[in-house]
Amino acid sequence: MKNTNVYVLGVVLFFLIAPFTIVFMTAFSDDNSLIFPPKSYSVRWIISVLQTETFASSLVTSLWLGIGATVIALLLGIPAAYALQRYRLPETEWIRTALTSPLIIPGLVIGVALLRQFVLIRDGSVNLALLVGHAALVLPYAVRVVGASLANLPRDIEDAALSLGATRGQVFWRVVLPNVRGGVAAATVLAFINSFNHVPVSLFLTGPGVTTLPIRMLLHMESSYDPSIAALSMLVILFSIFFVLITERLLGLSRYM
Amino acid sequence: MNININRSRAWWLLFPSVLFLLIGFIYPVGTFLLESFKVGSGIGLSNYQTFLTDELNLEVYWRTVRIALLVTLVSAVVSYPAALAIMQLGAKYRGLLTGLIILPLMISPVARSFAWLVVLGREGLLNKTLVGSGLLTESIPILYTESAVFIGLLQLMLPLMLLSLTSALENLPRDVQAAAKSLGANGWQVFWRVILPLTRDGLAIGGTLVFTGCITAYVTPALLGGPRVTMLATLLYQKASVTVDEAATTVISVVMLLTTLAVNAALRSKSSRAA
Amino acid sequence: MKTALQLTNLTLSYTREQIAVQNLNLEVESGELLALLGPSGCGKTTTMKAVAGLLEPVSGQIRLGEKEITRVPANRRDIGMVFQSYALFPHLSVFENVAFGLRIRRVEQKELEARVRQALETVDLSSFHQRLPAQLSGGQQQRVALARAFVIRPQLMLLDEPLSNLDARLRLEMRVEIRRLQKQLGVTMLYVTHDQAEALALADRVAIMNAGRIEQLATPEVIYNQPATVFAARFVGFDNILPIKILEHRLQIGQIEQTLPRVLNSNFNRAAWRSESIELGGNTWKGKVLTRSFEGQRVEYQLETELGLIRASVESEKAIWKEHNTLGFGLPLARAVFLEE
Repeated sequence: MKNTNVYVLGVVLFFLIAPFTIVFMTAFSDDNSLIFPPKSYSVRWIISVLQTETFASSLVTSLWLGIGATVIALLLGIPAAYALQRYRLPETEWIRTALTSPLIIPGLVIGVALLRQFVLIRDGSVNLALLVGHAALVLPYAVRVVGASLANLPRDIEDAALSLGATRGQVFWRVVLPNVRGGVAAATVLAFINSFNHVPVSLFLTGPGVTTLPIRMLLHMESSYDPSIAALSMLVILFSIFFVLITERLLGLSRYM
Repeated sequence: MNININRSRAWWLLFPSVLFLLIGFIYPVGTFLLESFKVGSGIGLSNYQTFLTDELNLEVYWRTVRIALLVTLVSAVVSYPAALAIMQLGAKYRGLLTGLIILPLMISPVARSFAWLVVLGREGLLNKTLVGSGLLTESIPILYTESAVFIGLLQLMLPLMLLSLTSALENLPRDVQAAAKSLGANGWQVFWRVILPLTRDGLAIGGTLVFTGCITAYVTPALLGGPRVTMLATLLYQKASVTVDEAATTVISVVMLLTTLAVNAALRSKSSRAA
Repeated sequence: MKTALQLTNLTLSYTREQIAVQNLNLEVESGELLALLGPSGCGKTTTMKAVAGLLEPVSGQIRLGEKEITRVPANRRDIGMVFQSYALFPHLSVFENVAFGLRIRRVEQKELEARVRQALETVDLSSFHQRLPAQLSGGQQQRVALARAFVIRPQLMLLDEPLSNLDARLRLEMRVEIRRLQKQLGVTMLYVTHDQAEALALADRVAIMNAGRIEQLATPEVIYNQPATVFAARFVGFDNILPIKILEHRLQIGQIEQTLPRVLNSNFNRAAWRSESIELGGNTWKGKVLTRSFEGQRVEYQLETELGLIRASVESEKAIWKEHNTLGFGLPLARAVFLEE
C-alpha cells in the first residue's frame, strides 16, 4: 500500500512536470515547423521571439497590467483583510464573500460584462476596464493571503503597542505590517502571477494596440504552427519559476497556499 | 472598544474595497446577468427557452458538466494516494514536493496547453510512441477530442485537489491511523473509515476548486478541443464575439454561474462545516 | 495614603445584552499591589481592559491619580500592561521591545539606551538584548514583558495572569521576582489572577471577584482566615460549608445543638471549615471513609456522613483509618467561619 502510494505520486509528478520539458526542448528547435523531438537544435527561435516587436509590446502591457492590478488589490485588500480579521461584526461575513466572489465568477463573464456595461454602453475606456477587471480578479488573493497572515498575529500584540503609547497608525506601521510582510509578499506574488498569466478576462478587453502576452500567444498559435510559441512559453515559464523561487527563498511562499 | 466605534472603524477600512467591487465588479456583472431575462422591453424566460431548446447547446452543456465531473473524480482518486505518499515521505521532502505541485499553478495556462499540443497531435509524441512500439498500427486522433480536453484540464486542475488533500491530511489528529490499525483495521478499512471521513472537508474544497476551474477554463478547451469539442466557455466566446448573440451570451453566463454555484453548494453541504 | 486608581460605579459589557461587570467600586492605593482574584469569567480581565482603555465602559468613572481617564484612549493613559501571552513584538529584538514605548515617546537616544539597559539589568537579561522573543524561554519572555511595561515609568502597571503560562517551579520564582520589582520600583500594580495561592502570596490586598462584583476586599491574612462570603470561603479553600441555625446562645447543625461560646448574629446560616480543621476520632458525628489519599505530610479523607460529604485532612502518622472504615469526627466551633448566604 505504501509503495503504491509513492508510485502514484511519482506518476502524478511526471504528469504535472514532464510537459514542460517538452516545451523546453521544442524551444531550442532549429526546424521551421513544430516537430517533436526536433530534428536539430539552435537558439534561433528564442532570439527571433526576443526581437519580435509585437511580443515585446505585449510583454510590456502584461507587466504594467500585472503591476497595476497588484497595487490596486493590495491597497484595497490589506485594509479590508485587517478589518475582516479584527472586527467581527454581523455584516463582515457578507463582505468577505463579496470580496472573494471574483474567484467563483467565470473570467469570461467578468470580461464580457465589463466590455458591455462599461465600454459599449457607457463609452468607457477599454484599458481602464481591463485594469479594473484584473484588479477585481486578484483582489481575493490579497484579502485571503494577508488575512491568513493576520490571523496568526495575536491581537494582544496590538493592544500592547497601544498601551505603550502608540497611535493606531503607529501600531499598523510599526507592529502589524512588519509581522505580516511575508503574507503581503506572498499576496503580491500570487496577485501578479495570476494577472500576468490570465486569459479569460482579457479576451474581450484587448484590441489592436493593447494586447496582453497570453492573448498574443493564443492569437499566434491560431495563425501559425512554429517553434516560436515554444520559445516564448519557455521564457514565460522561466520568468514565473524565477519569480516564485525568489519569493519562496525569501519568505517561504508555500506556507500561504 | 464598544461596538459602534468598532463598526465605524471597520467600515472606513472596508469602504474602499467594497466601493471598488460594487462599481467595478458587482454592478457590471450583476446588470449583465440580469439582461438574460430581458425580452423586448419586458422580462421573461424566453431567452432561456430559446437557448435550452437548441440540441447543440444542450450537448455542449452536458459535455462540459461530464468532463468537469470526470476531471474532479479522477483527480480525487489519484490525489488521495499521492497526498498520502507526501505524508509518508515525511517533512524532509514536503517542501520540495509541495513546490513541485505549486509550480504548474504559477505557469501560464497557454504554455501548459501548448505542451499538450506537441504531445497529443497526430504527429505528436504520444502517437509516435504508440505506433513505434507496435501498440497501434496507425496514429489515431487524440487532439481536438474530448480526451485531449480531459487530459489538459486534469493537468491544469490536479494540483488544486492535491494541495487541498495534503493540507487536510496535515490537519488530521496525529496517530489516528496508528490507533485504527491497533484496533485491527486493515489498510483499506483505515482509508474508508478513518481517513476519508476526516478529510472530507478538504475533498469538498478541492472538488469545488477543480469543478469550478473546469467549467470556467477557456484556454484549454479552446486549444485542445478545437472547433469540434465546444465547451460552455468556448461557446460563450463564440456567441459573444463571432456571432454577437447577446441573449445567448447572457444566458450562457448565467448557466455557467448557476452550475458552479450548485456544485459548490452540493459539495459544501457534504462537508461537515462550510470552510 | 494617596489613591492611585479609583473605579466608581463601573459597568462593563462586551455586547449590549450581557453585562460583564456591574457597578464596580475599587480604590488602589499608591505603591500597593492589589490582586483581583476570581474564577474565569468573573470579570477581572474585563475590568483590567477597561482600566487599560481597551474596552470602553458602559457607565461609571475611572480616575488615575488626579486625572479622570474614563474616555482617554489607551495610548494616552500612561499605564504599563503585561499580558498573559506576554505579547512581545515578534519582529523586534529584546532591546527594541523594551525601547518601543520610549521611541514612541521620542526619548532622546542616549537616555533611551541608558533606560533600556537599566531595565534589562533589573530583570537580569542584560546579555540577551540582541535576541528575538522566539529565542527566549517563557520565563525570559515574561521578564522582557515586565521590563517593557515599567521602562516607560507608568503611573500604574496592569498584570493579566502573567504567570499562568509558566511551569510550577518557574511560577514560584517569578512570583518572588515580581514582588521584588514592585517594591524596588515603588510602582502601583493591579494584578489579575485565578490562583488564590499566587494572589495571597503577592498582594498587599486581595479583591475576590465573582460574577462581575467584588465579594471581599481585604489583606491576604483576612481573606485567608475570615472570608466574608460563601463564595470567598469556597475559593480560598474552606471545603466544608454546612447549613446552620442560630437560636440565641445555641447553634444547630444537622440534628445536634451546641452552646455557642459567644453571641453571634442570628442572620448567619452557614458555617465553614477547612479540611484540616475537622477533628477526626471524636464522637459527635459519625462518618464512613469514601476515599483516602496520601499527600505526603498529610492524608486527605472524603467522608460520607449524615451532614453530607465531609473533607478532612490529618497528619499522616495519625491517619489510621482505611477505606470503608466508620469513624467519629467533630466540628470545632473555634475554628469555624460563620457566613450568610
